[in-house]
Amino acid sequence: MAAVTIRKVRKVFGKVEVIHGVDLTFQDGEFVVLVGPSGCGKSTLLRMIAGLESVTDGAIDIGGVVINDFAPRDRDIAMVFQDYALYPHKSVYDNMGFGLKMRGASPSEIAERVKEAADVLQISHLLDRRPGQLSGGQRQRVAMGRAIVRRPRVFLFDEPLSNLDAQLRAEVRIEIKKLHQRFGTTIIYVTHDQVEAMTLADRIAVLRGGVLEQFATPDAIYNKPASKFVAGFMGSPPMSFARLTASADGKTLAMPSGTVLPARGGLVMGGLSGDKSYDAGFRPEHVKLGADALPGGVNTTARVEILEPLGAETLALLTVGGAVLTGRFPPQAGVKSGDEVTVSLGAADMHLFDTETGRALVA
Amino acid sequence: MMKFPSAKKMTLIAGAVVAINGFFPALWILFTSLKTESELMRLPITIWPAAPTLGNYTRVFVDQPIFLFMWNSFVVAVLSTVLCVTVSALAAYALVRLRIPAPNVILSVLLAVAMFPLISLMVPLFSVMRDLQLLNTWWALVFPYAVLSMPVCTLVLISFFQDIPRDLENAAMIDGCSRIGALWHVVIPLTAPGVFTAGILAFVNAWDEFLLALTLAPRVASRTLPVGITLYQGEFSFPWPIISAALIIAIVPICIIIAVFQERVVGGLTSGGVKG
Ligand SMILES: Nc1ncnc2c1ncn2[C@@H]1O[C@H](COP(=O)(O)OP(=O)(O)OP(=O)(O)O)[C@@H](O)[C@H]1O
Ligand SMILES: [Mg+2]
Repeated sequence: MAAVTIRKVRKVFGKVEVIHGVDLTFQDGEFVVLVGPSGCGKSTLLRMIAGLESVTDGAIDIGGVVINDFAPRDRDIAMVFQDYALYPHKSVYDNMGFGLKMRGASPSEIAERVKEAADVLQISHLLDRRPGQLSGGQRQRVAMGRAIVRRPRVFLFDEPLSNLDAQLRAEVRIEIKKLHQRFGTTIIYVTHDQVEAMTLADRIAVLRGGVLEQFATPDAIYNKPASKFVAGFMGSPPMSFARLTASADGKTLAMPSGTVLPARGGLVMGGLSGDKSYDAGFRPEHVKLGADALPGGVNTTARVEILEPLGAETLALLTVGGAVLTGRFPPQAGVKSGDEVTVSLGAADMHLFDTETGRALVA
Repeated sequence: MMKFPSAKKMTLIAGAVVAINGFFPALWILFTSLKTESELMRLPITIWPAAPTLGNYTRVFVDQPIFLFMWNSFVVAVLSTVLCVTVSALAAYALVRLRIPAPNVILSVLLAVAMFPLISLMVPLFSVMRDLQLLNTWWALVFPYAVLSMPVCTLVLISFFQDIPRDLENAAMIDGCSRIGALWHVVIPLTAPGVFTAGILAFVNAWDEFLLALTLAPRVASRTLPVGITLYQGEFSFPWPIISAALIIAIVPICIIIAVFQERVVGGLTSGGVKG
């Protein structure tokens, strides 16, 4: 087990810089998830930690040692690949034992460790098979087995669940969480699925275009997004935004149609400049059906554009005060698209972002 | 309406053409080797030997030290094949995987080299081997044979290596292999059919070669089969049946080797490593 530190790391492919100086520190035993849209450099960063890509600039440190120039095999890490990368010509047993064998473990030790890992992952009955004879979910487990058998200091996962169907994904997600609780090894996990990120992570690093947007706990990422990008990326359905204008005294904000919202908490104390525009973000749970449905909410009328019933709740796409917002409605609210309804806008829970930089104004 | 033969029939016909074209000469040689010389010269031509005899085979062994020639051929072919496949595998791997500049230029040059007429290489090769004092040794043939087969072996291996997902090697390198280790433990086993194909190509090329063998290693001690077989002809005679018998003996090892490795060449080892 080890802490991992990434210091001012850059990566250039040919002439294209894809990682622009990222700083991150992962605690020993921490479960860190790297998220971001496709092409933002998550895999590249992970592969640099694994030693599969060179580091153009900066330093990567595992357990207090800079390992930039170490070969992958000397880094004491294990990796689970998106396509599993199991050795097709070896049995499940040999797949799992290969790393130990290459490190000179005795056959009895290999047998013992493979058996232990297979028991944990419930794949003991598959040990004689070849990867070609396994289902996707089973291959996934074997790939994890191959990683845990070695008892490395750090586990790296690159979108390990993206080839599984939704149900299996939920199952294996829980499995991975259990593994982390059991072994307590540092895990760095790449995904673009924000549900995985929220459910698995101790801390989430949100990347965008090779730049770190925010590195914080899932709770902070959700409730205190550092930027409009993070706010819009994390959460399902995502936060919706409205462009508001501050009043001359900076104490209230007006929606495009003129509806006035009080500025939240500390913002009033000088955070807002008069007559300036801000992007306000509302989580769907802060756009509720009915007058006074939210404490500190502002009642306003909204037009229902589209309803998406999900069973336990209904998502409503609304036009509110000149902006388009998503609301979370109760399942049998008795509204139809086209209706004019009264909603309560959670002004106290609204997030404000600078329209130019996209950075959050911290209340 | 016109009736075309079904696809299956067409395949059968095409297969028959190929088989007859390939096998007829071999069969003709086999039959010739079982005839007496007088029967061969008789008219009308007989196809099936009238009085099959193994006498020609005895003569093959009596007239020339054919076992020695066979041993020389075998050693030269094996050594040059091993050398050729090893170097070709490394070259193919480098061209496929490493970020070396202009791999396509290198490939084209490789192909161009393969087009050189052998005759143009003979004089320089002769003087090189003479200066190295390797004339009339196995090595005089091992090195040129290995090099001559390298372009085609490299091309064969490239096409096989390209299909191996990178992450398999990455996994092996994380599991504790060096790059060469990953090539040996993962890529080579998975491309076994390609490696054997390349190996057989190199082996057959070396086994068949005549011109260089005659030039660089003509003495009895290092003489290979193709050269040895021509020595059955005398100044004024050309003993077809004996030469045919010698040819049959020369073909046998190749057939055995191909039969042995056939299964590996056809074997579908690569399925199911990655998702799917
Ligand atoms: N070997 C390479 N050569 C050149 N560019 C590369 C190479 N590998 C990745 N890139 C580029 O680097 C950027 C980041 O790629 P990366 O694979 O890290 O993205 P990602 O965040 O993992 O995306 P995804 O979610 O689609 O897997 C992309 O723009 C990609 O085109
Ligand atoms: Mg990726």
